[in-house]
Amino acid sequence: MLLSVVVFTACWIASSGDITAVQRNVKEFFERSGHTNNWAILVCTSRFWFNYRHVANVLSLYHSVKRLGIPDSQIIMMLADDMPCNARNPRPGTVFNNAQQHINLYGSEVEVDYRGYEVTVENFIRLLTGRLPSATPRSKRLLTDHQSNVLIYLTGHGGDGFLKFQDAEEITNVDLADAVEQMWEKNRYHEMFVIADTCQSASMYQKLYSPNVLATSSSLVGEDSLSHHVDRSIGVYIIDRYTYYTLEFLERQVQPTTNKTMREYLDSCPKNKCISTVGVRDDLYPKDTERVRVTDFFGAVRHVRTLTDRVVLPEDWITDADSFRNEQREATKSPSQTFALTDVKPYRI
Amino acid sequence: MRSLTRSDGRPPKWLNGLRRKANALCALLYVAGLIYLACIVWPSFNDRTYFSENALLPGLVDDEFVHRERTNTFAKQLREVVQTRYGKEYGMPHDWLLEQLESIGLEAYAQNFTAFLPGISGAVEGTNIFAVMRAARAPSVESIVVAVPFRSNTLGSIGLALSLASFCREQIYWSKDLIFVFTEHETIGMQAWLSAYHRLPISSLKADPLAAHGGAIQAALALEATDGSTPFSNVDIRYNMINGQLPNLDLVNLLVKMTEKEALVPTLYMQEDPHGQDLYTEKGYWKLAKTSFKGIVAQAFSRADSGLHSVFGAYGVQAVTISPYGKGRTKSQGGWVDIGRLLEGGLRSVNNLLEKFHQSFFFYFLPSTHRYVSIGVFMPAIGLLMGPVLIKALCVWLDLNDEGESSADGDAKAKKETKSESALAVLPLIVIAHSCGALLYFLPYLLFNAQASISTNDQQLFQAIATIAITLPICPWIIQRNLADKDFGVPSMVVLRVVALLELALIVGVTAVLNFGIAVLVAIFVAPISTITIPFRSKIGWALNSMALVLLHPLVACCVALGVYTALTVPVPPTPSWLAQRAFEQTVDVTVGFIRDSLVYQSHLYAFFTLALFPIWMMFWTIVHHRSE
Repeated sequence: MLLSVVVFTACWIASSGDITAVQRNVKEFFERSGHTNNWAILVCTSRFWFNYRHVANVLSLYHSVKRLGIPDSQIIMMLADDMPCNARNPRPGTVFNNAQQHINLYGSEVEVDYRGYEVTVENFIRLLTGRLPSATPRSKRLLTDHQSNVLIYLTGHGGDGFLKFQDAEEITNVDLADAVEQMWEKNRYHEMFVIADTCQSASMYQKLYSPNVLATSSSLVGEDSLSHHVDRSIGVYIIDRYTYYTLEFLERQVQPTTNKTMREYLDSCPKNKCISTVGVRDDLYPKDTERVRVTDFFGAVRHVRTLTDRVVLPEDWITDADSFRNEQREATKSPSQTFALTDVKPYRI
Repeated sequence: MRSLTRSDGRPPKWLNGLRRKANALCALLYVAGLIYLACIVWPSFNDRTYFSENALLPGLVDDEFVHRERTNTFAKQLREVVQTRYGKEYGMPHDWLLEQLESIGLEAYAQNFTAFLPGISGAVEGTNIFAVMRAARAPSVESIVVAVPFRSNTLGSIGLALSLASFCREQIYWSKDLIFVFTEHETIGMQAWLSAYHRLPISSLKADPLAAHGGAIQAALALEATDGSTPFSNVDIRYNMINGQLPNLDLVNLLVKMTEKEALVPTLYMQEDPHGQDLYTEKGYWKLAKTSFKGIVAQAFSRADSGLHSVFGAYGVQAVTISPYGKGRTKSQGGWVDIGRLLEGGLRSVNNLLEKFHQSFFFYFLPSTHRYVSIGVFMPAIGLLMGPVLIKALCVWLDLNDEGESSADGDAKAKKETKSESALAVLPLIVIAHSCGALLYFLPYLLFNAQASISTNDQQLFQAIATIAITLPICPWIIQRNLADKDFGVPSMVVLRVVALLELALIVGVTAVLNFGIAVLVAIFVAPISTITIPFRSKIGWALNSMALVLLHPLVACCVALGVYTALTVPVPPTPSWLAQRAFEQTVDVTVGFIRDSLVYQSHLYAFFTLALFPIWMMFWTIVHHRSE
């Protein structure tokens, strides 16, 4: 609707024959995104068969995020228990999120990075802050930089100020806020979107104090988040309300090329559907959520900008191929001065 | 706790007030205790049942058991085999059961056992049949037991259990093993199986070791439906175990929910719940009170005859018996398949468990299937009922001290000596009372030796016990009458009274946690009599008190209680002689039953009555029959 108004205005301006102005108007409706890569951290913190729905939540979001372009190498998924191969699963090897649709969320294309008892508070914070042992494989590292947009999705059982991990320990909102601040200090994110889908989840983002963080939760403090429906052939609650409705929004309305805004995502589960009130924390986020694309966080979409202006490159940016080869020959003459073509220091982690 | 003396050595003011108003206070507390018990049954003072264990997910899954034909075929074949082989004796066809279980695909085994019971000549021999269904995708560390007794009228239940076993074998979602047990001689067989499973030997029961195990038993469901009455309309859920133990309330609530899911009516002690709108009315209240009373009595005198579940308690296994009964109105519901679906739902729910039942209550009683009274709510009743006993003991002790102090002029030394002498003089009486109790307790074991070839029948055993129980009280009387009075002056009776009252309070208080039923019954009937038992001077007081105590003699009280119960439940008003005879017969049954239970099922009721209550009774009897000058 807004888009059509803009296009109409653009066409009206286009009568002057300035195409770039039209493009600029459309592009300028959305705030400038300064990120170059997207990462997603999807965490399911609860184990046991009766918490099937938390694993289904995470896997549903995993598929959405993958569909919108984030590759497996940039998704860290933590599942605290093995639902597909649980002895109680009457459909072994599968996880469903909908009693009618029968879409199996689990399969050979699903890459779980932290599984079972590896999902602990310590591992989660080490992942965020990057302080992992040197033997940790790349698939378990969050290799973000100052131009990464990071999506963090936490689901499980929670309470006022904490999230329960594995029925044995808890992460407090203070721990989370400090970890995010460490990330900011180390330039490990450009913008961050934190989603908490637990009971009283608004408390999880209350203590955040780092810039460029947008946060949302499925319920306010004092409210419980509710599950959506039971799959009577499996015998468990299969998905939570918040994830069900936001997923519906993501699956039906968001494509890599659409321009759905974050405000629409945040409004996608109103109180009459979610029953609990969705909480939003946007005071640390400098942009207007109505002018930020959903795909800025949920997908890896490259916005190609066409340049019609002339760009003059400085002299020392261009290396003459001949002069480069000459330099190399001179270098090989003196063996003491050996250097590699790509003399890049290894990235210190 | 505040000390009972002030800094100047005198007792505090409230204590004086207490001593002045002691009798009134005792009466008030006792009445308050009775009113309290009556009140907690009212729905406003107790809570609706709920599920504490999140992992159970009760009733969420659709039941898939539909094998009507299979159930009927199994039942019919079993009936034919029993008829052709054993005719009217209804012997258990072990090999047929083994064959059927193996054809289903389960590991089937037989276990022989021999029981030596007092009152039954010869040994009781039997064979249990059990089959283990291994969980395909889980390690065999936990199991669920489905138990059915073999009896002439449980053939339909056995058919259902067999077809349920075949259904369960076909499913892939088991995380625990299922063990199907068919016992001979009902609870004796079950106890033999359990003692062999847990490797706990029982002296009077010789059970062969089991050929297969299934890990720790998480829950047990016993099925006991009488034949020929499908469609059923109600399901009686029995949960009282030996020694007053109760299974976790979650398990009871689970089966109530499963019953309601199959559109059957769950009942406790064959009493239906008051209807929704009747809950807060007088009619509803009497229903709740009746069920509560039955619950308390069942917990107090818990025998093994309520179902196979009753013996599981000693092994820490939560168990419940399902007993469908009643005449259903429509043919479409209440058949064997619906009972099968009920069990399937229960098994699937217990299958979801990750830990033993531990979340919900273990100490409770149920006024209805949807309301519970937990220990925090019913325990104050014991405090109120036993309060008089403690207050009386305190007042009597303080009076004794005062008496000693008040006559402290001139005769001080002599009096003091008398007091300490009298305190010590009472000791032999206490020892005699307790040894009488011990004698009564060990008598059956002396008469009946498991290995000896001499066996007694019911009557002989009872006669021996009754004789001893009735002649023993004469001892202190004789002792007192023959010895000089100066050794057993009134102060010593007072000391004995204090000791007896304190011991009563202690026994009842301790038992209240383990078996609330028996504790509250003892508190209601014994406490008031014990408080007013004194060495009376007047003839009338003495006569009344003696009579009251005679009524409280364990055997006599048993007889009277059973007589009253029979009179209330029999439809035709009975003649006194018939009633007396029936009561006497039942007393014999009950006494021998208690002894048998203590030998086979490790029930502590007989020990409670002989070792704990009888000595206290003897001490009060001694007090009443003290003759002073």
